Amino acid sequence: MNLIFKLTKDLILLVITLALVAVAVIGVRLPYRSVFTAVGPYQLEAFPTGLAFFHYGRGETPFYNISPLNDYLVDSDGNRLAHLSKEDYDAKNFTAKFQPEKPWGIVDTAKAFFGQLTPWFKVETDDLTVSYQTTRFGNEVIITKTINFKKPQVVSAVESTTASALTIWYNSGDIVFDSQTGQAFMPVSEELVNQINKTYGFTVIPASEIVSEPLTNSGSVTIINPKLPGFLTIQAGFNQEVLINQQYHLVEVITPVVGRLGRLTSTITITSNQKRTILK
Amino acid sequence: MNPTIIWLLPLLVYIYPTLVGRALAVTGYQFRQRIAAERGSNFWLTVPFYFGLGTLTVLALALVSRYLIQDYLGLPFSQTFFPLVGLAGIISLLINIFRLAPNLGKIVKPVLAPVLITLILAQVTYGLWVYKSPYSLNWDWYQHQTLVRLIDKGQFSFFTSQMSDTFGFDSYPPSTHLLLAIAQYPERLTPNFVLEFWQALGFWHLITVGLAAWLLGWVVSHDKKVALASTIVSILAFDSMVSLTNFFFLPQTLAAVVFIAMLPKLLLARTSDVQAKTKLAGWETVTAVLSLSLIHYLVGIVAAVIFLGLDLYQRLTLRRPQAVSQWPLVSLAIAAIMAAFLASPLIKLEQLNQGEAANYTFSLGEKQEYLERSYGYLVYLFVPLGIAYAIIKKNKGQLISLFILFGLTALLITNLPYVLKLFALTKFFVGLFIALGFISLIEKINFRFIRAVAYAGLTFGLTIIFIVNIASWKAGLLSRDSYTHLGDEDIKAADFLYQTYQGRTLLISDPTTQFLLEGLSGVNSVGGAYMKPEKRQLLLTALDTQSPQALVKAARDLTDGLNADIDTRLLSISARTFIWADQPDSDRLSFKFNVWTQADLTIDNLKFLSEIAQEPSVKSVYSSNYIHLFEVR
Repeated sequence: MNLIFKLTKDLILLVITLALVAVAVIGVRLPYRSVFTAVGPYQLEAFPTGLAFFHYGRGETPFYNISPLNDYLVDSDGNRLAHLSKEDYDAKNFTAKFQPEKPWGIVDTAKAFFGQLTPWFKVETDDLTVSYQTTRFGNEVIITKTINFKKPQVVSAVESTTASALTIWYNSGDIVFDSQTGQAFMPVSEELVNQINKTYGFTVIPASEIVSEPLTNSGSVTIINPKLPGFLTIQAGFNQEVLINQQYHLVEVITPVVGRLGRLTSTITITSNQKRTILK
Repeated sequence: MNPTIIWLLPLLVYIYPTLVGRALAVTGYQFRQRIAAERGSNFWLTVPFYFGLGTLTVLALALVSRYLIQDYLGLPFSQTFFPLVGLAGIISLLINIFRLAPNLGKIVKPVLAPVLITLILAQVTYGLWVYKSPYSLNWDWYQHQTLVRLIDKGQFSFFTSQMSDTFGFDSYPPSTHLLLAIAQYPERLTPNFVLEFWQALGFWHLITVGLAAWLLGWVVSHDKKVALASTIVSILAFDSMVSLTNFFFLPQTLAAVVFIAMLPKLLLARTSDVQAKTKLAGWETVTAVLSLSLIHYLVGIVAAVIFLGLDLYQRLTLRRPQAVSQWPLVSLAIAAIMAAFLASPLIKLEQLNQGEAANYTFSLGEKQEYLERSYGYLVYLFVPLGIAYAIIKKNKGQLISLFILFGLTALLITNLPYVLKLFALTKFFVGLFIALGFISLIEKINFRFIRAVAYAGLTFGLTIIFIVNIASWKAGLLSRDSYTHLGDEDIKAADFLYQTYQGRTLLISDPTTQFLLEGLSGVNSVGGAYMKPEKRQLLLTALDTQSPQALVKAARDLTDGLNADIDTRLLSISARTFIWADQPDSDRLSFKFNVWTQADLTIDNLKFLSEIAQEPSVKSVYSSNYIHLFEVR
């Protein structure tokens, strides 16, 4: 009896101690940055409007955004329907999740520190949920976008969807070109062509004028900004095509929609590097 | 040099002065009594005083070499100081061998368990800390290494600001740097050597933090359970703002550890009865006060004042036990907190160190945030329990510790600049009271296994807090896939400088690049990270105009404030230089701002660099994706 009493008392004290330790742990401040990862010379992190590739610590510099504000569905009439319209964004008719929150955010922070968690972004409107998940392999990151339609009428409304676009927003001043052929989609000075060749190993062929919506032949596009080190290469999948939207500065990776589901998934691969790797 | 030897070499920073100090203490008048007094635990309690005495001796040797022998006899500093140090080392070693402490076996046995536990705990903690961080993250080590190199070259002064223009303010004499110079002598100080040395030094420093916490916990409680909990908390709770005690060997953190290690003998000496064998000798009080003050002027002098005050208090209570009670002191400490908080806004010290002090002034909210980053809610939950425990137990050592905790807290909550450095001292008392709070809960647990689970829970909880804390701390240091200030290209460039340029060369670059390269290579720069605002402005004006001619002119005009004897000017332009120049004036003119990680050059940067290379008075001597070096004629 005495033993049971002692054991019970000990266990109660243990539970109290561990509970206090647990509460203390929950009190820890989470990092000021959301989950981030290095992709070559770039870093990938989630922000309130989506995922972004950027150079940390350089102050205000160009960045590359993947956002539901730019991504869209195409219906059978060719109309583009943004996942998150500007009106909904301005009226804050959405919720976005992109950073760890306590208590489980503590575990997420630890996982991210050890490279077991990469950035994500999830936005929810009345009609749909769009989530972006990332997986990193060295200098390469695979971004998977999943759209879930929340209401039957919405599914019905998009019955006519023919394509889904995953986009990367680029900056004015960027040089965008076909990774394989080197064909640029805008004019580039000879001096810059030489510098790009010397620095990164690409032979860029300048366009004589800005082409409005060119398609790449190889499904792979490279972006270089003279004010940033390194480059980004966007590689589309075998069933996707890549469109350069010069008006809105978007590299659009178009995935055709086959079948009728309440859920759409599309994937792209983005590589960031400092020197071109020539495969033999 | 063999990596294992480099890993062990920093131990000389601790061992050498301790051997010298003990040799002095057990030599001469009444030496037999002094050796006899080392019986039992007294030996380990005296070791910090030996360290202090040895440090003072080394400083004295340096002062004699510099201000007597060099100034009056004309013999260069390095030709007298290092031979004297060598001689003192050999004699000390012989004295220590011939005058071993009695019953050495009995002395070593009780410390084996604490040392082993601390080693394991430190190994795991340091392993987590250096995860993806191949080089020391102690930002200040570059400037300390600059002083060590200067000592090595024979350029010693009592005032750091007269040794290098990286030091615009004398926060300490170079006592710590003399110990480092001894540990590194006569090794060639290549970039790779100093990198490995400082990484290893961080580990040994963490062990001293753990052992000091153990000693304090044990002395105030005579309970190994408290000592163990105190060690766990002190090692795993990283004060990640300003004081940076755990992993960063700095004058301020060394002063804190030495103080905490000295305190137990003082507490034990006077809390025991008059006949206690652990009496504090006069030389020990003098050594404590002088050595602490001469390691770091702020943390060391505050520690010395506490030590002296307590010693006087102890002596007073020893003579008239009823004359002084603890309660008025604790009340006084609480009143001091209030008074300090109210009075501190009236004291304006922000302009100290050319305005750097303003960056070290924090609001209460910021301090609370730092506390929660380091401890979660442990301080709020366990410290009150610990305080209640100490008051109920009426343990004199714990009450004195409480008094110190309150007093230091009074200073910490003021908004005076640099006060957060004092957390290097406070963290041990915070750790102690968290440990006491923890013990107050588990003390009544009978089953050892259940108690062990409680310890495991505390360790696990602290480990999670620690990981989140370092994830926050390192968040700005990600470069490629490492958390580091340095990249391979920094080290290659430093190696090139080390091999090619020494002596009368002046390196001119942005504050961060020249700070890192100077520490790594030893090539003198224009003030390192503490480049004066007018010099920054001169370089920035040239960079802003994007004119190679203006930049070359600026490189010719910039000078080292202390050393005009220059035959080669090296203009070093790195990616950091451009990033620095792109920032607003509030950042690029501030000592607070640094470009913390290595970056790569852009196409635009390379274009400008090729224009500089075409200047007739410029010779390109080194180039990489990150940095270009030009000799400017």
